[in-house]
Amino acid sequence: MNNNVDVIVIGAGGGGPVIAKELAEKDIKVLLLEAGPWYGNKNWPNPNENKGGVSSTSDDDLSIELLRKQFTDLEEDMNDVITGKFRWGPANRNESPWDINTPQKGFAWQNSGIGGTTLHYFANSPRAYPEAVNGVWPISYDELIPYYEKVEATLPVSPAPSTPKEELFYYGAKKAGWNEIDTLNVREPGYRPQPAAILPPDPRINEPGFNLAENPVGCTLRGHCINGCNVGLTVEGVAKRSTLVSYIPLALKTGNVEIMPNTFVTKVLTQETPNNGLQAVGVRFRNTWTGEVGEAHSKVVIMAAGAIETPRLWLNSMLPKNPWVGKGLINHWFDCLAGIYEEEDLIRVLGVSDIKPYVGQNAAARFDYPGLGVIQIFGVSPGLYSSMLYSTSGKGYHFLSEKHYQTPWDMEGMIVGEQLKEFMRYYPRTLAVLIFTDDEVNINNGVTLDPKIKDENGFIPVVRYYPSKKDKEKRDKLAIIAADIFRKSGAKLVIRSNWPPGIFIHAQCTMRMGYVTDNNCEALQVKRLYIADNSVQFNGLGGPNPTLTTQALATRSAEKIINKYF
Amino acid sequence: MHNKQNKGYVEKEYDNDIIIYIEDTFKALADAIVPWTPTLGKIFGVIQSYGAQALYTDEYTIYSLNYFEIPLALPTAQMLDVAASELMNLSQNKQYQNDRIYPMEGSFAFLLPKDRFRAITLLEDLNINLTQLPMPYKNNPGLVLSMTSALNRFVTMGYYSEWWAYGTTRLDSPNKRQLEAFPISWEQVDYPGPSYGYKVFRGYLINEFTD
Ligand SMILES: Cc1cc2nc3c(=O)[nH]c(=O)nc-3n(C[C@H](O)[C@H](O)[C@H](O)COP(=O)(O)OP(=O)(O)OC[C@H]3O[C@@H](n4cnc5c(N)ncnc54)[C@H](O)[C@@H]3O)c2cc1C
Ligand code: SF4
Repeated sequence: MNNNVDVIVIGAGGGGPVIAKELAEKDIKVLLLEAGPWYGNKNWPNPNENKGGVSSTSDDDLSIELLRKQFTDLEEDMNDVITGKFRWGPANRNESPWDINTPQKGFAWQNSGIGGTTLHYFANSPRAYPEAVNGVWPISYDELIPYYEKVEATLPVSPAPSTPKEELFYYGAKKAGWNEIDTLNVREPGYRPQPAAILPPDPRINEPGFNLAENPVGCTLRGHCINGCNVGLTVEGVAKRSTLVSYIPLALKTGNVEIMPNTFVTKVLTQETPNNGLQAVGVRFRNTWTGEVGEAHSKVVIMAAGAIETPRLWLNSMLPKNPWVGKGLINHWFDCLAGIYEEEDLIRVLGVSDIKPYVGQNAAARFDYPGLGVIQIFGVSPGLYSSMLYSTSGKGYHFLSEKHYQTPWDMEGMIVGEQLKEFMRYYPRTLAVLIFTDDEVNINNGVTLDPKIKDENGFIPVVRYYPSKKDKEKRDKLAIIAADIFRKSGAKLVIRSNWPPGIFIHAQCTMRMGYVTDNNCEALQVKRLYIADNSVQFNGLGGPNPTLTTQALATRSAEKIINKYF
Repeated sequence: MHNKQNKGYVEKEYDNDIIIYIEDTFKALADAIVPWTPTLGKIFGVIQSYGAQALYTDEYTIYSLNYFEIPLALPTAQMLDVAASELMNLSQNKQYQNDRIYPMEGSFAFLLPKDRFRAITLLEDLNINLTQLPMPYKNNPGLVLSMTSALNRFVTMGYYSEWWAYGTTRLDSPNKRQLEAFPISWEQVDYPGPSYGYKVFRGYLINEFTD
């Protein structure tokens, strides 16, 4: 390992690889340290079984054959939150996951590994709503646009294709009176295809002679985005553009990046300087297989460990106190609704008798409403589907709840027993949506350290989130709109899960720009320390999925770092 | 179907009666969430009868709970029992389930399925004396909430995913498991399993985004 580099990046998830690639393309030497395993790399042929190599510096190390073997498309194997390959834990699956204390109903859903949480994200890549940024953020929306464009071109992002489930949603949204929109900069409510970081399907995909098994280029609509996606001729050609297959190969191609997986950073090292005060000089880390501890030094350190682990690392490193470190957590307070359809209604609208939620990209159509948030359809394999739709609620069990006056949905809460099995029998005729609320920043929400419980990486994080009254109103409005779209498209039964607030999927804003960092994402209190993950966002973007904005900001920060320090 | 495995997934050092107690409690939980449904079976074919017990979903739940740094299956079972006793104290249970004999004390497993959910609801609403709970739940409302809200997800994830089909390898290290069958639950919901892709492309709502 080269332990004297120009820049150290901590975390290879949604943000880290982007800033690493941007810097390395300008001939800056980067060391990227990642806590979790590396899939699809020859130096780790069995990444969950033994420690393998130390680092990788070349895209020759990437192997699509290994990736195909490792990303099995089996949801428990890939996505079990405790033992799955995509969990928050060490590479060695015989060990326990790492603990995040969420002292309320819910859990934090994030991954370790090269690619981080983008390993299983849906690759939905919308921009922020302009009105959530302009006059609100310390920088303007116009300032973000060129960086959005660069990321959109690099991933790349394009409109998602339709399969029956998307058509059904568009049909319902149109009948409900909403407009079709086709813009990246959304200012009015409407429905549109997902801006997807997924390579479009081969136009010949429907031809009888077209062989899907022969690893075609582009998406084959097989619905395993959440389980990783391994469709492609090379790692960098894989259809779903997690950073594992997009930015990481590009970073390696520069020849200026060394990437070490299985390396948990436990402390940011600083030094007091006479002229510039406190500044970052390197990191201490721990190998997750051997427990060996090491240090590396650099001119600049970039934290990209995610909205929970970045503040945790700041606090465990005893960096200066700042009331906003860890605070202001945005969560997009999610919800789920499902609509169950009869065969004849589907035939009438679509010409086919089911929509098969496991077919097509996992989330290819959306409805945007600046001022309220987002509704987007999703369809995944049955274990995840049933757990998200019928087994997660802040409202308890449906059969125990008191009958309410007229609600726009037929049922609310968890579904169990014979009814659950009945509903799951309708799985091929069930359309589901996720709701993301445009929730408000509140300094009382966020990440602190557990005062007592430590793991091998330091005191564990405690994450708390309570929505405001306004957040609740917005979420309810979105649920009413979603229920109406279901009805208009012919759903016979509409079920609202009503998720509790404590499920962390879009955690953001815990190290806010303007409060913890300056407008260029450099920490106010520690020079040469930057942040390049969801935590640095100023607010929840109005509801849109956060990753593209994190990637745009990381692209911008790379420019600022080069101008200031290189 | 599959052979029973060694009991290591429960906890190697436990006595047999504790093991049976844990197993019965999680059978009762899994069974309530995904029951044996002969009625569905009669109408839609026998495959629709199978429930969580036939698919060893209780084992999946125990295995998952014991995978944490502190094994959680035993304290979670005990927590469910405290809730069940509280339910009975409050006389909120509708009736005992008498047609099953559980060898250990374990009031949760004695309850009718519907009352099991009433007991869990007491926990979810923190309507329970938290000092009576075992460690690490004792006086720890946050953990009580996050764990009880996960129980249903554990069961449905275990049941509707491929886990049961790992067959005799299901309790092995996650790296060593092999699919030995086609999951019954997938047949129930008409999920064909992973595929190379689907020829159902229907074009694009729009071809390009504007600015
Ligand atoms: C099921 C699911 C679907 C999603 N779908 C979408 C979507 O479609 N679109 C979208 O925009 N967002 C989506 N998200 C959210 C998205 O995954 C995140 O916004 C994004 O990954 C955040 O990037 P990040 O860099 O902040 O954090 P992460 O991606 O979580 O990356 C942080 C990385 O840092 C590593 N790390 C943490 N601590 C340390 C340490 N101390 N030392 C070394 N390494 C460390 C972690 O292992 C991880 O790899 C989804 C999330 C989930 C759970
Ligand atoms: S649907 Fe998802 S998993 Fe399937 S090929 Fe397309 S991107 Fe990959």
